[in-house]
Amino acid sequence: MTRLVVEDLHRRFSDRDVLHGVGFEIAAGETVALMGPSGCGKTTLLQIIGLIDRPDAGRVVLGDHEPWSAPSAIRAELRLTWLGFVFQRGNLIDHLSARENVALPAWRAGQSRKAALARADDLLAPLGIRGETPSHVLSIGETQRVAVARALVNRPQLILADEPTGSLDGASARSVLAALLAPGEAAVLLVTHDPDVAARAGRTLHMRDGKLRERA
Amino acid sequence: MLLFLARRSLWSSRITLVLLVVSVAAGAGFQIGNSANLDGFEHALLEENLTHGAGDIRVEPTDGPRFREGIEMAARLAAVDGVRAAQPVLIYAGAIGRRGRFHATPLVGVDRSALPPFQIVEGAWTPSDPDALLIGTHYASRLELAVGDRVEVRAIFGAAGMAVDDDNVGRYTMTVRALVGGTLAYRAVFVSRTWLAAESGEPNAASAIHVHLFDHERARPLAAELAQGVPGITAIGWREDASYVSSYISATRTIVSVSYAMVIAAVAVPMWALLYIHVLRRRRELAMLLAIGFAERDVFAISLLQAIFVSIVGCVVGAGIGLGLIVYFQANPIYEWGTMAVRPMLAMGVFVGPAIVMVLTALVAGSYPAWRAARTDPARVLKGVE
Repeated sequence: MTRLVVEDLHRRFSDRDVLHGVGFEIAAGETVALMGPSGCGKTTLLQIIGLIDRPDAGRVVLGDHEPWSAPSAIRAELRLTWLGFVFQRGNLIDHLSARENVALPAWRAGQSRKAALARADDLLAPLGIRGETPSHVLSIGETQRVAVARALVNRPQLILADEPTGSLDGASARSVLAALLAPGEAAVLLVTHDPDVAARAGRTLHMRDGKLRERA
Repeated sequence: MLLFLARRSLWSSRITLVLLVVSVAAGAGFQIGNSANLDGFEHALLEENLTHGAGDIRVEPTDGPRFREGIEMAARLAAVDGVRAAQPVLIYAGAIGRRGRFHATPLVGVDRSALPPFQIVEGAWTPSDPDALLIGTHYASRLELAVGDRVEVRAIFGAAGMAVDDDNVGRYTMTVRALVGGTLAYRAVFVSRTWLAAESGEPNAASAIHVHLFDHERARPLAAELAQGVPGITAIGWREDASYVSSYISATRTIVSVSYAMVIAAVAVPMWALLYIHVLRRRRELAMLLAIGFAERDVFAISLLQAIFVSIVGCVVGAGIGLGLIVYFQANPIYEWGTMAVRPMLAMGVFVGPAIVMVLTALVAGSYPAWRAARTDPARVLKGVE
């Protein structure tokens, strides 16, 4: 089953075309890497697919949903239950603990606080993170691992990861990737500058000046 | 969950939290103290002028200076629904003096009552004692009189009476049993009505009936009903009879409204500013919440809950401040003269009113920052553009 369809996507900021007719598909369980120079539009593409930014033209289909034709409440629901997003810099809430950060989407999705925290503990334990640790004392690597756990907490259909290993050392990067690319139903779209990380994906898309081409 | 996020976010910025709470607490505390004092002023005015004065309705005969059967008229009025008491008073022009110095004064005859038109400052009232004189503090001071002193009393009866001489003036020497105060009483002299009426030759006479009600606000309509329903009387409610009291009370209520407006402005502006700054400082957190699936209404609710939370905490602290002010001003009244002392009223309404206003102010002041929070553009913030 196709998890993601992107058709003829356009996005313009001020007088610059950031995305120019971008289109591709990702199937269930598939891992796709997205590479390209800085400023070529990778993060913008990810944010449009992640329903955070609105395209100027084009279509995004998530499973059976066309979110950009739906009300904002539907998009919020899809971000919560269908998508998992790993941001470039983790972006945890500083005044919450690691487990509270991970539990938040599950709690918002309707699980009880206790169940959500238990789910968070289950995800953090294999990553070697103590749940009670305040987020603001976590290292960069630990922050990214917590961010990955948060993205996985609601068992999303599509995981979007924007440079998840960008500022990590080798060991941290490997553990983050291991968590992100664990076998499962979820499709993964992974933005990276690292060819070794891209090599772990099934295929790689290359982006330049807002346009996309695929290399096997 | 939203309340959890609201509280934790506020707690992470303790200075903002403290400033918000202090802002609300100061407003609530001030308004509680202010309302209590103004309520106390209104209460003191009504006590001084109505309860210990001429009552809520002053009833007088349309024909002649007195009711011949004043006792019967008082009993009839006392039976009317809503009437707490009906006090017959008999008033003659008179004078009191000592060592040859006399002062003109109304001579007021009053029988035993739970609601006499005076307040005893010193001494005791023995209404059945014909020798007993209660003297207003003004004359006690002018004539240097104390309880127990003997004083000359003159009563001008007008028509021929039983125990008067040819010029219809009664001459008596009486003993001061008490000093009395009150807006009407401090420049008057009180004796037994029964005795005075007997001296005048009209044992049941009353110059007026002071009607006291359970509800002061019923005075005007009830006065109109009595004037229509009871023949031979005029009935005047206190708002018309003592218009200065009515004006004071209206002014007091206006001051309460103005002070509420001032407190609302003084609290709303810093609340709005602090909450807005708090939103601006948390843009990344808000953007992230939106990005992971929180709806705009969730983010709006989190911010608004923060406003409500600090207003409730602030009101609790403010209640403590207000209570402290009330306790202080009860021991140190803002105004004290004679028998009238303005002390703050300790009542639930004094706390509930300001609390409701503070919470509503928080809702209004917090609405724009909450709306601004919900309008956070996660794409721009997470990219670092904002």
